[in-house]
Amino acid sequence: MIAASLLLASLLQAATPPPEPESPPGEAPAGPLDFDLFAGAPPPETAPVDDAAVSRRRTMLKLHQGLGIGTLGLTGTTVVLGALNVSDLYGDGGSHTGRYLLAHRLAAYTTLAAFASTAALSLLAPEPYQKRAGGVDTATLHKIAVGIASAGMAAQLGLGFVAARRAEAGNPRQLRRIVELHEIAGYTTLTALGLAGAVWIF
Amino acid sequence: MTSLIYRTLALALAALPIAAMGADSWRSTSASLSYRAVHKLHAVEGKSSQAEAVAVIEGHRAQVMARVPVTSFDSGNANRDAHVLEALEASKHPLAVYKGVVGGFALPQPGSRSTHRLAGELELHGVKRPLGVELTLEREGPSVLIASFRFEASLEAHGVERPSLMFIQVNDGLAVEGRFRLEPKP
Repeated sequence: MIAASLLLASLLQAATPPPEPESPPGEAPAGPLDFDLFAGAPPPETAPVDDAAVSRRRTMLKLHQGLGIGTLGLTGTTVVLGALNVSDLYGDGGSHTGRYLLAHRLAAYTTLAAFASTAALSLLAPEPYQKRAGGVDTATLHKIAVGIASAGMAAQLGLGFVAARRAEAGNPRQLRRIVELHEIAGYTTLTALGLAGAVWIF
Repeated sequence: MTSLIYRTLALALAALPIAAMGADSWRSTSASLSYRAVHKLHAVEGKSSQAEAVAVIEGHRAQVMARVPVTSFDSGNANRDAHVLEALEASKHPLAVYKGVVGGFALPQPGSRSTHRLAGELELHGVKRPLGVELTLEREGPSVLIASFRFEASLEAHGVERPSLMFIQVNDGLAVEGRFRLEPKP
């Protein structure tokens, strides 16, 4: 009986190996990692992606980002030159020389060209990944801000053109009011563009 | 006759721990996995619920394998997610996979928890790098195991060109956090 108990105890001991120590951090695994515990089960399906479109999109959006920051700087420059121009032409202490006129126009046309190019790069960039439906995200806020900026750009172009023609024709009718609206459109556009860039930070 | 009974009993009892040491498989039934990338101007968190994990316990050794489609992460910004997929070249490397092993392993008793250090490797962007992971196991019942962990992976070590915003790249370290609910695999 005693012999049988001893035999049982020794068998149990032999069948239960002492626990291995846990692998220390950062060290190589205690065994090979060539196992596949999913046994070849396919992972959740993902939509196929066009690699060329992915590469084209990245290039275009990198340019969009650079040009966007440049457009913000150009818009700021145009607004400052516009304010100096208004002050020079219509301000109480203005010298009425028109010395900022050409610089403001050149800056305005450059800004418009940069803005249009930036927009085109974004609008024409391919979308190789499936978009998730619904929800307002940062990109939506960016698009809203850019929409406001686009309206501001169009308003500035129209109002600036009308103001310039009236001033050249010596027609003072509502000129001051049109110039004020042109200025407001400029500040609004600059703010909207600043927000369009800032939303990416959040 | 008596010795025959003893011998049979001895063999049966000896076989018990061997049976107890047989492979024991657990599979995830739900999961939440997130990454946190830090940029000088802000931090970004992407979440996925499509991660899967399988654990096989054999005696005092456990093998773990987890995988997640990189397209399944949602950071709340579709453009940013697309940028991440471009950086990870998701079309070529659609999965992030972790494999790890741990020795001296024992499942926690129901209602208790235990921590373990997994030694293994993470495959991201098609590049495998060794990675140790601190794993906490919580036994919610005889057949429910909650595994939670967090670790930091280097993007550059996996050959990932770090995404940038305003021409400033995100930090190299990507903090990953996860929680899996595992149940015995039939």
